[in-house]
Amino acid sequence: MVVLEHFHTLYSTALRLTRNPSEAQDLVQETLLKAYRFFDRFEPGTNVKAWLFTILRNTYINTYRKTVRQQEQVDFERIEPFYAEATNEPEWEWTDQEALEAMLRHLVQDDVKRALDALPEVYRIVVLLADLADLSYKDIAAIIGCPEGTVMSRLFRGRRLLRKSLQEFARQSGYVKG
Amino acid sequence: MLSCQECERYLPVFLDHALGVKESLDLEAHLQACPACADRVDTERRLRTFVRQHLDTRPLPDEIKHTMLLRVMQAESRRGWRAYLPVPVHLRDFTMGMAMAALVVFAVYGPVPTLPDNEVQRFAREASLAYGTYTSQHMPLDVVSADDSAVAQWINKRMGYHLKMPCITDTATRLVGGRLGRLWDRKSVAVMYQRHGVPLWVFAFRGEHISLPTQKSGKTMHVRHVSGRPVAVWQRDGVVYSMVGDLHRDDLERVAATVNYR
Repeated sequence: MVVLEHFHTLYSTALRLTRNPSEAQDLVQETLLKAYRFFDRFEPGTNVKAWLFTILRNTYINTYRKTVRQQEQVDFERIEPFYAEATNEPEWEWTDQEALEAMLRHLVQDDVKRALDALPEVYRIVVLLADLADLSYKDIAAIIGCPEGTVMSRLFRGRRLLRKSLQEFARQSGYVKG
Repeated sequence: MLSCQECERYLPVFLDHALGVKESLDLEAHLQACPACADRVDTERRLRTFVRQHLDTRPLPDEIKHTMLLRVMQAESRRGWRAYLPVPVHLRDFTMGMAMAALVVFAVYGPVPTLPDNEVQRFAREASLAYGTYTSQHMPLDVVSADDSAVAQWINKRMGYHLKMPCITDTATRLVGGRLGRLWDRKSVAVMYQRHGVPLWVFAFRGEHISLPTQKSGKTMHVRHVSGRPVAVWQRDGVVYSMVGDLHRDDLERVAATVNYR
């Protein structure tokens, strides 16, 4: 079953979307059920992985998030000032490998997850699809239903915000630049 | 030659393997000549790897994975026929609707006799179900032989009466063997063939009192689609035969037309 090949990536993505292991299992299970039920709608020759992630994302948006996390939805009005603030500040304080390694030493696994979980959802989903699921801009655009240019800009902003959080976590645990 | 600013702008797309070939070559040329930008690329790459590694989760234990897959299968098999309706309908409303429709049909046309064609559909469904089970579970054969007279002899011995074995004479189809089974709640025989690697099963049971309808075209062979595969059903000398295979309908009909009886 070709679906099994992507099981782990589906689960990892679901976990970072729902932030809860049992809810992530439910989301993956629902995704697999829909994939199984509507397999006749899959067009042979197209990307099965992108198709599965489309189901996962739609299930999350349409059924799961609507009931569980409606209060956490973030709209663009809220995001844009946040983004402007993030991009106005100098992005990188570590421009070389050595400075970066020094900062990474101050981070633990949970920091990356916390930083990702703190991202507004529009950015979180593209970062997950690109950096965890290894999907192309084209596939991500098809999954979230927007132009590739939007994917690129959201990805750029999402990664930037993620790094800003990481930098902050590193600082909190004693990282001093320079 | 790209400038450092351009390099910085294209860098994320380059690392996502989404930059065009020419642009990638230009960028690589710049990186060769600019140690500061090359270091920036390495830093960016290292950070991406770090994030990716830390985002990945521990794989779910196999038991949980299997339970989830099992639940998917169970949910699908429990799914009632109402799930296939285009809109959700309460059972009570549906029953009332059907009862009203039946009343209207009865008032307009009078009593409707049972359609004999339903019987053909039932044979076809049962044959398709047996085919699905036999092929998915690799049901063992009771006799394995490519010699049709040997299989026919075995069948007659085991069935206890002379049931003419259906022999496909199509050159692309070869006999594999046979087994006993139950179809339509009767002792029946199942003969397995292969055609270009695709299993093809022919089922037969004695049904003297069954009379399959003749089609308008005068054909005595009925072909139905059940679970996406064609099933041919016909009757000869009181024996009901059905042939199933994951073939195109025309191919199945062509193969069924070559059947001889031993």
